[in-house]
Amino acid sequence: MPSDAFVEVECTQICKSGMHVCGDSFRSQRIESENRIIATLADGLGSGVKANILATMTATMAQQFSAANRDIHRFSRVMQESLPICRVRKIAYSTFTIVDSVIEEHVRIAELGNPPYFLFRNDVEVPVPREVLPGETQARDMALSSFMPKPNDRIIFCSDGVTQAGLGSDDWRFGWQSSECAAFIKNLLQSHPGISAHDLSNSICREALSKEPGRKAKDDISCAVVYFRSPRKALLLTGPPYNHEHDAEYGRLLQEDYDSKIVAGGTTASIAARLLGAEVEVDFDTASGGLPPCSQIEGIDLVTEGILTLTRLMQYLSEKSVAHQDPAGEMARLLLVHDRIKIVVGTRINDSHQDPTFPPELVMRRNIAMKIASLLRTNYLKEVTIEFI
Amino acid sequence: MAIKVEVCMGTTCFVMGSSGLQVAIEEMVAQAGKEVEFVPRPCLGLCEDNRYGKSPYVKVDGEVIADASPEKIMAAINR
Repeated sequence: MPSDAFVEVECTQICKSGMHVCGDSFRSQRIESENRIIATLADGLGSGVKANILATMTATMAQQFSAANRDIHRFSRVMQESLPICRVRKIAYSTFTIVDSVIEEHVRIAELGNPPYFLFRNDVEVPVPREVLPGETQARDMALSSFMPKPNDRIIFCSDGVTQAGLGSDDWRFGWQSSECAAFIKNLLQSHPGISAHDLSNSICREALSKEPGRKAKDDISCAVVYFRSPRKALLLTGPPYNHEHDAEYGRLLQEDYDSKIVAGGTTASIAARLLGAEVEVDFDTASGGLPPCSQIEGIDLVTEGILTLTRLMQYLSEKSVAHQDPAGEMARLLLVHDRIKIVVGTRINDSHQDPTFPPELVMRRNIAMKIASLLRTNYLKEVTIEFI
Repeated sequence: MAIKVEVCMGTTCFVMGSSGLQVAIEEMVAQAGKEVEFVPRPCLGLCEDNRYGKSPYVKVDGEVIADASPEKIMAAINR
């Protein structure tokens, strides 16, 4: 894999009909120091809260053991020996799939009880040989595999709510099954070769739900996708530079190659427009949600007001709620389709923002920007750099 | 020729009520029979200028109106 490869990880989940809690659990984490991403999907026995507890416990254990053990065989033994087994039914209280990827190195996958994962290289399914690690009982047998990922590889793993969707119905007596699911994925990748991990996992779950009579899921449906690709890069500029002489730095940044460029702030927009030789046009119709309207500058994808919008963005990212139809929601959605985000914060203080009657968050552009960067990293696994000018 | 009214939509002016100014004076303008072009601006840069009072700021054909209200803006339009 090239050194600038990016790993996009997304999971879509649909609860069993009538349940408020999903009995499947998905966990992912990025270990920066090791350039490593670990994603785990567990399916708890039963459904609802009890299953969720079992799945969450298993996924958390698997995630932590995997993170602590680079040796997949050693980690697998630990999981096999410690995984709780139902004494009556002799099956594990939870199944799991762990995808452990060290960027620029190999991917290692451990499976216990979940449907086998798919590896798609562009739109071609690639079979990956498994090594079976036998446990004390068949319930503890684990399948291990490893391969070197290539650009545009996708690992798709799911709970049996996907492969058994429609089980017992007239159209899908034996369920959707892995082979039909793979055919669906292949067709989707052929028609949408650049489809994101989010859209792919969502499409698979929606298709599985469509197999269920009355579109009522008889089991929790979960599908996760790990997508290896070139990173999408975004630039966010906010606040004028402390020193006017450094305004030109913004011009230099705006000439660099980014997939999207965002400006947050009226003064910042004026500086950007001047450096680009463009006009700023405010679109009053975009004012919504109590936020000031957006503007348009040729060459910049989104121009909003500064502090108020960024504060609201921080709120939306914290709540993981980005569907709002206002400037902050639009900024959130634009940022989240990118993998690497560079935030540049101008540190010139606006004296008018120092009014003690103003809300305190208005004066803390630096703090808000840092909080936004942190939320993008922890909640969305984005790679974020932040600079202060 | 239409009178140009530029309304600042920067953070401070927005918090101090600039977003409602256009709607507030549209009827007054119509009743006065004036031809007015409203132009929202992302920032007029006036809050850092000590020569003017407090926000919100509006410019009427280039004349700065500080602590703008519908009455002050109409008075400037009628001048």
